Amino acid sequence: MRKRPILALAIIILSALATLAAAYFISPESIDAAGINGLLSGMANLGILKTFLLSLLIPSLLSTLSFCVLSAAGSVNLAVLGEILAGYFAASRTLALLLPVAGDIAAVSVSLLAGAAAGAIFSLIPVIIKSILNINVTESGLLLSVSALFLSRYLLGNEGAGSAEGAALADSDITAICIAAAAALLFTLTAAMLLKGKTGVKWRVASLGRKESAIKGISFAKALFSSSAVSGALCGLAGGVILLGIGNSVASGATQSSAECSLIALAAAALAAFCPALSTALGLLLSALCFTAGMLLSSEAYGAIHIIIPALALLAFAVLNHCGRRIASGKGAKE
Amino acid sequence: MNAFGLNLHTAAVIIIPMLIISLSSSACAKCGENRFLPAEAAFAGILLHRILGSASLPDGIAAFSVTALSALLAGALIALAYIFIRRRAGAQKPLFVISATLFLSVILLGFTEESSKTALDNNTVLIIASALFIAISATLIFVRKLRLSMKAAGESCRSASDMGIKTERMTVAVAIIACAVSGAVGALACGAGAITAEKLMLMILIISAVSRERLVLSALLALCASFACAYIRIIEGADGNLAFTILTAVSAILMPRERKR
Amino acid sequence: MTASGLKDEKALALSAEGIYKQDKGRQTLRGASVMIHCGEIHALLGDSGSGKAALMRILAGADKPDSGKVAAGSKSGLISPEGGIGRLSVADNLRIYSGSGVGGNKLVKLAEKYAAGFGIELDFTARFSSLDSLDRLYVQLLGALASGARLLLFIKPLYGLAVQQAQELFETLYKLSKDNYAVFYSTDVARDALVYSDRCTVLYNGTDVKTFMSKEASLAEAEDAMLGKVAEAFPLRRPPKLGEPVYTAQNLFVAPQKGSYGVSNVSLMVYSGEIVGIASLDGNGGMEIIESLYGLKRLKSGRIFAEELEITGCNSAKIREAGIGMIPDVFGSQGSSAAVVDLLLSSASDSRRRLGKKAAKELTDGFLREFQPLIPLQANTPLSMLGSPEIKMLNLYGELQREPKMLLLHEPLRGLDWNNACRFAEKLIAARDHGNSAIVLSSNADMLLGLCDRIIVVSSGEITAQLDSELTDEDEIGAYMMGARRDRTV
Repeated sequence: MRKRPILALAIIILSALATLAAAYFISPESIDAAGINGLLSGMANLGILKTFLLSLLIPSLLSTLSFCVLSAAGSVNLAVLGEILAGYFAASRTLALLLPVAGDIAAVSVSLLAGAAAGAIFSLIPVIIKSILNINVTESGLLLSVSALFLSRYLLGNEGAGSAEGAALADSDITAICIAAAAALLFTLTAAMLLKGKTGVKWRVASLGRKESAIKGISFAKALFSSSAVSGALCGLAGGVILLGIGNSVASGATQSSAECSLIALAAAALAAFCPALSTALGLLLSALCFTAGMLLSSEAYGAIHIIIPALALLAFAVLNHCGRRIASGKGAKE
Repeated sequence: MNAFGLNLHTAAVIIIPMLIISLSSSACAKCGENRFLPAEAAFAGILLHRILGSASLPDGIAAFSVTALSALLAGALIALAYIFIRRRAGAQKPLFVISATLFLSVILLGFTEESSKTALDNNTVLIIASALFIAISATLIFVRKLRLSMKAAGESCRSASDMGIKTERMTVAVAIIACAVSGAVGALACGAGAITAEKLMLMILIISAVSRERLVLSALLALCASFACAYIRIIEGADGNLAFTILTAVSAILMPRERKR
Repeated sequence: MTASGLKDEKALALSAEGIYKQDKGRQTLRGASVMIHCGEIHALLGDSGSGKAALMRILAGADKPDSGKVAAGSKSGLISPEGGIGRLSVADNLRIYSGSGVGGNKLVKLAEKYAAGFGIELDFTARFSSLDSLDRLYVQLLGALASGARLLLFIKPLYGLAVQQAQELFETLYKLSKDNYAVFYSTDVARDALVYSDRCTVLYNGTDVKTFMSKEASLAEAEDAMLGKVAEAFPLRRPPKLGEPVYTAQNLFVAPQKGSYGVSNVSLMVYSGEIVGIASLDGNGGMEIIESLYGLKRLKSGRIFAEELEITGCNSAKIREAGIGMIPDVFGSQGSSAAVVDLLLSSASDSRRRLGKKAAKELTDGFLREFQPLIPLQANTPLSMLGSPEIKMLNLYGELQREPKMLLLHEPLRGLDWNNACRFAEKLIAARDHGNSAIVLSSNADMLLGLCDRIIVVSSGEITAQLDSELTDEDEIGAYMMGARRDRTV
């Protein structure tokens, strides 16, 4: 039990160092020299750290947290990718509508909220399917994610390159800092709710099953719906942040970025056995690793690294799982 | 060509391998294993086909036999790895591995190219696939004891082993055979070249998602799904994406119900 | 270890020596040895957690020992209350067995012949899950016999059977032992072991401590060997001080479902300060009554009151608010993320206690003072690592923190080891003396007689008798559980 914070802290320091090193050694000019086109060259002017923050780190961490939230209620929702994409599209539509009529900050915050709402609604689809047809949430979530991926390909394909409002907005430092701060606050709140609050207890008891939670006077359906909605909202928010990070300008980047974030999140959360603090730290590490590798490698290998690192982490989780379980049950420290 | 603009011969080359995968998934589900397992092996088969296709192998049937054999082995290995992981980690966890391998294969696919070297004649594919299909379905339908034992193991491992079935041995054997066959079939279907590898993977995912313990029902669903896929395949571009969106969404609600334990 | 020389001329069916086995980090068997002869009924007596089931599975070859030697002289068949495949028909269940060259339909024919020989009436096309406890045992027994087993190993065969059914079963087994079959079964009731066996081996803490001829041993001797020296005494009941009625159910009807009778026209009234037992065999409606009282099952008609408050049709959360709690027998914990402290907090939290580390620690420490779980646990131990007795104790402790007016319990002492069962009963009786009440559902008449003031017998979904536990015995309860009737008087 006591080893967990130390481990988390070590990982955070490690990943911060890695990111700083990446940012220090690579100037925007050398990015072009390294041949990173597509996703990154479009926003080389944004500053590497900000890109990292908005298009990779914050979304990944938000999705990681969403996995932790849902695992408390006993399910693994693989609809994360779909939720992020739903958030992305909702945020982008709202932003396009509001920008001409409202102020920047108002438009951004409203569109982020819209993203969160869309994510929450998307996350309820597997739950509704479960409550009507009793189909496993994890499996229908996986298929719905794939479905959302194709849908966004269809939508983006029709749209072509959109406007660059998002990216332009995030160009102002204040927005980025505000988002980072808000994300940190949100993060603390959710983690506190999970670990300290009554809701956390309720969700964990609901994970025992429908009948068991009824015996304890807890509504299983309510717990499942509320936990899914919270985790979906977190992912939707992640989608909104991705929009601000990469903008509408790189249409195909949306699906790629979402896929990266959801995979990093899955790997981090699974590897840390769904403990919020540890999985955040691991999410940070994985994002930093991906980012650093991306900076150092050619564009083709860069794309691969983004997926291969978290995928390998996942496989490592599978093999080392019982270490993870020990950490989770607090037995690691004793034995 | 029929009224739908679909060449039945080509469609059969897609559909029969899919039916085999559906049978394997169904067999796995019957004995309580994860039904996505054969799909994973099939992904491996497709990947191997791609990778070996770009390697310097002799052309034609010889190259294909090498591919099919290695796909068979890869499938068996995947089953073994999965069982090892499941024993150490518990039932739910392998889903992570499955999603990870899914992502991994999609990425690796991007690094390999379609090759004509290992391409196969449609008729050869049809003959091999049909033979396999008939053999597997005959075994599953006519060997009642096997079917009952699988069902028993799927319902309660403990009771089944109390009744004298070597549960663990049987489920491992079923998983290995199902995966090996699916791996080979994946390579076969990819070799026929009637559909792109990415769409083939998606199809396999859908097929294994809708398959369930009951053989006939899952075969029927697989038939419908693969027919739909084979038809969608000829729709180009954005509309194809939309069609696949709808197909995956529909298959999400056609999945089997969770069993109460 | 060696018994008297009476059976020495009979062939050895199975011998096991020095069996060690570790399971989930716990040493369940420490050098257990046993010898089973052909033509005898041999009981394995031991408290819960003494390693009976582990030994049985090893003897049957379904599990491997860590060390030790098992030498089988003949083929064995394992039969347990949880055995059999519920979704298959009886015939299909029989077809699964294999052995001595017979299989498939021949096996079923053979089983039918055996059934006719023993006068067992079975519907071979029925679903296995629709059978009652005794028939489930019979199906497995027939399967084992048809597949050529000469050694029959039973895990807790008496479990969930009425006295009359137990007698019927052992008549059959006695006939088998006459035909030189070996019968070996486990039980945790010393009296059963003495009545229904030729020889008895006592298992204590994973080791066989004693083997004796059942006829020659006394009950006290057997219990002492089984429980060791530190056994607590089962709490004595003082006469109840009845208060106002706290709980009234009028004319309850629950629609019958697959494999159960439902409930028809059940009325009951519980006063404060009494423990009421519901004696009912599995699938006879007892579970439906308890669940409908707690709002888990929908009533077709009928009304339920907690004191003056009508709680008909309320959900379990509302019913809990009215001061009612439930402790189920089976409380699934697999694949959940909940830990010990979550269970305790969720049980106790109705009293608007602050949630926090301190409360959690207090609760867990309090629990560990009251009970001694066999699996060591801490506040953050995942429930999935615990067994059902631990969870039952946690549930009771948590519920009692809330001081509920009434507790509904299903098989409260099932699976608990003797000492913890005594403590569990003590807590219940103390709560009763405090003016709270409880309804205990069980198929174990002996346990109900020890714990309850009044026993309501339910058979086929109807009340067949209401008995004062001072004035009745196991036989009478068993007869009513099997469907005999009497006018409802207390």
